[in-house]
Amino acid sequence: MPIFTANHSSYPRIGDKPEEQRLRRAFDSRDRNEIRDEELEAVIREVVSDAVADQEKAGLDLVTDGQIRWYDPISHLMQSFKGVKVGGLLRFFDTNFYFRVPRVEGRLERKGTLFADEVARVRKSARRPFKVVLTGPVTLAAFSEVDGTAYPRLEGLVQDLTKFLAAECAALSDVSWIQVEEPVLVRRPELFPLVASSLAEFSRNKGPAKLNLATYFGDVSALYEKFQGLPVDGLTLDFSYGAKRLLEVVEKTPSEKVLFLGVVDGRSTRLENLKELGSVYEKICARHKGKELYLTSSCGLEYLPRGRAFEKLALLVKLKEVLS
Amino acid sequence: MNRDKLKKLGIDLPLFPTTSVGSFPKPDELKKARADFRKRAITAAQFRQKEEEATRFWVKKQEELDIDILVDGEMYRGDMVAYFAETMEGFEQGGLVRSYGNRYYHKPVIVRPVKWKGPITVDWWQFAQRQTVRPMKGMLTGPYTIMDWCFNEYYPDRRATALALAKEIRKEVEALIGAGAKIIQIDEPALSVRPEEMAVAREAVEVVTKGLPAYFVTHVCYGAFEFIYPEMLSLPFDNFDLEMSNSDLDLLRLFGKNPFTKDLSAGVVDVHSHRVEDLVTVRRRIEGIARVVSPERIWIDPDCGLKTRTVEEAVSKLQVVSLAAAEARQKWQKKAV
Repeated sequence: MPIFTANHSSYPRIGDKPEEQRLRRAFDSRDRNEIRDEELEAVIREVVSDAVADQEKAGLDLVTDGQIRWYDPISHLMQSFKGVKVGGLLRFFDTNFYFRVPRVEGRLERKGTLFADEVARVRKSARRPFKVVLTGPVTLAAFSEVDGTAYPRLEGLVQDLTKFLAAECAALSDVSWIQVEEPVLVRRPELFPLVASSLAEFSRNKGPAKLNLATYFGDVSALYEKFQGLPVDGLTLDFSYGAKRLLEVVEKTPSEKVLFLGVVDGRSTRLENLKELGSVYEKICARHKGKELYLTSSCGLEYLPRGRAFEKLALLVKLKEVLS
Repeated sequence: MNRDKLKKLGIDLPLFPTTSVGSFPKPDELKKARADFRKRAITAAQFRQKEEEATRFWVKKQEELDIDILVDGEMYRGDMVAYFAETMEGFEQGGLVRSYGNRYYHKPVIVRPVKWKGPITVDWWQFAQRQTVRPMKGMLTGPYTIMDWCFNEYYPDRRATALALAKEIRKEVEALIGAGAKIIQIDEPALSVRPEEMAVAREAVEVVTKGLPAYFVTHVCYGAFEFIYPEMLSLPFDNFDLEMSNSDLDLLRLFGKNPFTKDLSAGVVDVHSHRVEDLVTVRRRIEGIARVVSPERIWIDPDCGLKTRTVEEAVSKLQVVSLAAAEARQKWQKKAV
C-alpha cells in the first residue's frame, strides 16, 4: 500500500527574515494607503507561490495553497456572502489565534466566486497534485452569530452554506482532493448528523476530485467508527490530542478510506523523533485497508514559525521513507 | 465590591471606578527610539529616558481624564508574554507566528527550567507610582497564559509547565507587594482555551496569590466564556476584567443565568476598532451591565489593552470611558439618595 505525504492546510505566511515579511509590510502599506490593491495582490500571489514552492522543496506529494489569503478559517469564507457582517475577535479553539465572528443578518447570497478562480490560478503554478482546503459549513455556521429571523435553525444556514460551497467545488478542475474541515465536531459531536448530510451534498458535487473530512484540535476516537460510514474518500485525523486512544481505535478498526494521519504536531516546535514516530505508526500502516495512506501534520502549520513548519514537512518525507 | 479588602489596603474607590487593562500605544518618539536603540544609534540611558517620558505622558493623561486606578501603560514592553520570557531564565525567543489578521508576535520557547532572576516589573511600577498619588496597578502575565502562549520543549506536560511558572511568578508578586503595590492584575487571557484545564489554572493561580496581601484582578478576553463560566469565579481573584463590548454584552446572558459574584471590570469600548464610541453607546453598555451586575461591583474600562490604537484614539476612548462612568456614578448616587 503506497504511503504519501501531504500538507495539512495552512502554511506560515511570513518568516523571521526581513525578505520573508513582505506580505506583512504590504498589508500595513495598504492600510496606510501607500500602495494600491493591485500591488498588494501581486505580493499575495508571490507569497502563495513561495508557500507552494516550500512544500514542493520539502518533497511533499500533495500540496495546498497554504491558505495565505485567508484572514482566518471562519470569516474568510463567510465575508464572501451578502447578508453577513464581520464582527469582533474570538479565540479559535484553544489556540492563541483569533478569528472575526461573522454575523449572519440575512439570507446568504453569493457576491461572486468564492475560491474556484483562485484555486485555478494557483493550480497552474503547482507542480504536484493539489488539495483544496475549506472550512466546512457546520463549523462556519456554528462559529457565526446568526439572526434568528434569517435562519431560525442552524440546519437552514448549514444547508445554504453547503449549497454554495459544494457548487463552487463542482467548478474545480485538476484538483486531487477537496478537504472539508469540520473541527467543530471535537467540541460538539452531536452535530455529526448535520456534517454527514452536508458531506453527502459535497460528494454529489465534487466532480473527479476525492473528498476528505478533516477534524483537528481534539480527540475524535469516539466518532471514528461513525466516520467510516460517511460519503467521503478520506479522513484526516489529529493524533496530538488523546493520541493513545485514537491510535488504539484506528488499529482496532482498520479503515477502508484513505487516511491522512496527523502524525507531527502542528502546534509544537518540539521536533518529533523519527524512530519513535516510525514505531508508533508502523502497525497502522501495516493493517490499513484503504488504497493509500498519507502522512501529514495534526493541523495547519500556520501556528508554527516558518522555519520549524518546513522542518516538520521534511520530517514527514523522512518518515514516509522509514514506513515505506 | 470587595471594599473591605480595599479599605484594609488603604484604598477607597468611588462607585463605577475607572481603570485601563494595561497597555497604551507607544508615542512616535518612543517607537523611533526603540528602532534607534535596536540599531545601536542611541544608548540604553537615552532609550530609558524616552520610555520614562512616555510613561509620564500616560500617567499624566490618565490623571487629566480622571481615571481612578492607573496603569503604567507598558511603554517598556513589547508583547505581554515575550516580555516575561525575555527577563526570566529558561526561554529562547521563538519565531514569528500570527495572532490575528496582519498581527504577528515572537512566540517564546521554553527550553530549560524557568527561573525568576529578580524583579521584572517593580522598577517601572515604582517609577509610575512616583508620578501620581492615585493607585497604580501592578501588572503581570499569569502562569497559565505564559504556559499556553509559549512553545514548550522542556517540561513533560502543560500542568508541570504552569506550576513551574507559577512558583516563579509568585516571586514577582511578592516583590511588587514589597515595593508597595496594593492592586495587582494578573492577566490570564488564555484561561478559556481549555475548559477541562480549569483545575490546572486554579492550582497555578493559587500558587501565585495564596496568602498575599493584595487586591487581585485578572484580565480575560476573547474567549468562549460559556465553557468556563461560572467555574472561573472560583479562581482566587477579587476582580475579573472582561471584554464586554467586543461581544455586544453577550456575557450578560451568562451572568443572568448564574450571578456574577466577584467584582467586575467591564470593558465598554472596543480596542480593535478605530472608531471611537460615542457617549450614548457607552452609557447604554454601562446601563445594560448594571442591570445584571450590582453597580457596587462594577469598574469601568476598555475591553483590552489599547496598544494597537493610535495615541489620539486611545485618549478618546479613555475619555468616553471616564465621562460615561462619571455620568453613571451621578445617576446611581442620586438613585441611592
